[in-house]
Amino acid sequence: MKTDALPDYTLQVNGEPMQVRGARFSENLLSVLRYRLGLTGTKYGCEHGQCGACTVHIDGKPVNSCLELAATAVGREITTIEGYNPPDGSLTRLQECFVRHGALQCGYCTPGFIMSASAFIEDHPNASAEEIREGLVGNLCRCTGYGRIIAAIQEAAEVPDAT
Amino acid sequence: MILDTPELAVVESIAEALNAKRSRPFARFVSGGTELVADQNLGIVCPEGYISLRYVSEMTRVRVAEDRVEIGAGCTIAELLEEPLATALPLLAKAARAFGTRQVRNRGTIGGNIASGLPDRTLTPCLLVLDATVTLESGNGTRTVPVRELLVGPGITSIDPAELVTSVTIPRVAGFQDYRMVGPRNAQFYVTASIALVIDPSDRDVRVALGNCAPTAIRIPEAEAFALGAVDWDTSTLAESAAVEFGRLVGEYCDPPEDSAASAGYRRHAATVMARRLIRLGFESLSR
Repeated sequence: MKTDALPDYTLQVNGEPMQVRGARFSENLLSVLRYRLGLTGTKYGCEHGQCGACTVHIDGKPVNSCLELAATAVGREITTIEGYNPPDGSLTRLQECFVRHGALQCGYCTPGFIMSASAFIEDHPNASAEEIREGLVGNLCRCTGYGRIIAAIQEAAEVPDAT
Repeated sequence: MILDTPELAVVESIAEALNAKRSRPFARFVSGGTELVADQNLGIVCPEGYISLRYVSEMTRVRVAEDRVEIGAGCTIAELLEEPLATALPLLAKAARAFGTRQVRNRGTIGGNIASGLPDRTLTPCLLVLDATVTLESGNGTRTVPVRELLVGPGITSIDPAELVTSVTIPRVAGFQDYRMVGPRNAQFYVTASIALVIDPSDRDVRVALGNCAPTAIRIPEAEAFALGAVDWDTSTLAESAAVEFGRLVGEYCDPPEDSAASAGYRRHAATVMARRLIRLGFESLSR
């Protein structure tokens, strides 16, 4: 009998090996993270690479987990919002800036924004608002109108003057 | 081979990819997944298997020579924005900035954007004005084809299902080169209409191509021929009336689709305006 389930495989998620059992060959990483590994911080949005709610890091780069065939991520370092958060439950500087600026309403897009923004500000210290708008083009928010999100990311991107 | 199952093969070489295709003719080649997996998620396609090309290192090589650049089909769009490609191929770097999102650029590949064959993809008009050629490999051998011969119709190419796009060769051009598009947002998965223009004063050449203004991305030879005759190459200038006529010809000789994104008339108008503005900008920057 033909089966489309793959043999068990292991994904390296947030620094830990996680066993995936009985997944279909066509399952995307978003679905495996949420429904097989219980990591529901990564959100399910448009499922075609438009909204960025499902953004995770693979080997440090932001990608849409909905467009990634999960089994092709074997051997890669996957970081989700759960792994981005400090283990003691505190917030990162970027997250504190989101709180301070009120950069969320319903919060559904926030994990994706945090994952995109954290990668962006690492590559673009002291980014301008214009640069942030272009860099975060892959994340949609339907509540805030973006102004507060951009302001929060801009503050988080500020590098204190070394002199 | 990294993974070898009946429905999913994750291969590491072109030879493995072609072997995997022979034993799984039903399987689709996939690399970035930004088009195929998106279509699967939306229920537009339902592949019975995949052959993932993500880890084929032969297909991620880049060779920059004095007169041409060879890019492996597996190179990502993000790599077009980085060195050495950003300097070697300025037109593609400009187009890449308007291509999808950061996340999509980290995954979408040059080969995939070509093999898609859709008229609204970003790279094809650019590859047309650069006279790029594509190398295809299959069990029957290797062939090299100009991009314009690959494009047959909307989403239809002359690539055989058993063939794999392995690399793209792009002649380097001097002079002005730029890309413009109109669309609902920078990150939308399609462009409403787009244009690529090259003005090469050393070869006295003007080349223009449109995206999503015909069943495939197309060059507009009528507008190119007009521009060649209208340019004063000694001063690298073009009269304003000639820029207007160039735009009019670009609009006249395209054949835009009519769909939920825009009417044919809107696309024709957009092509006319973008062509006029871009050729004006080109000659302004050359005469500076």
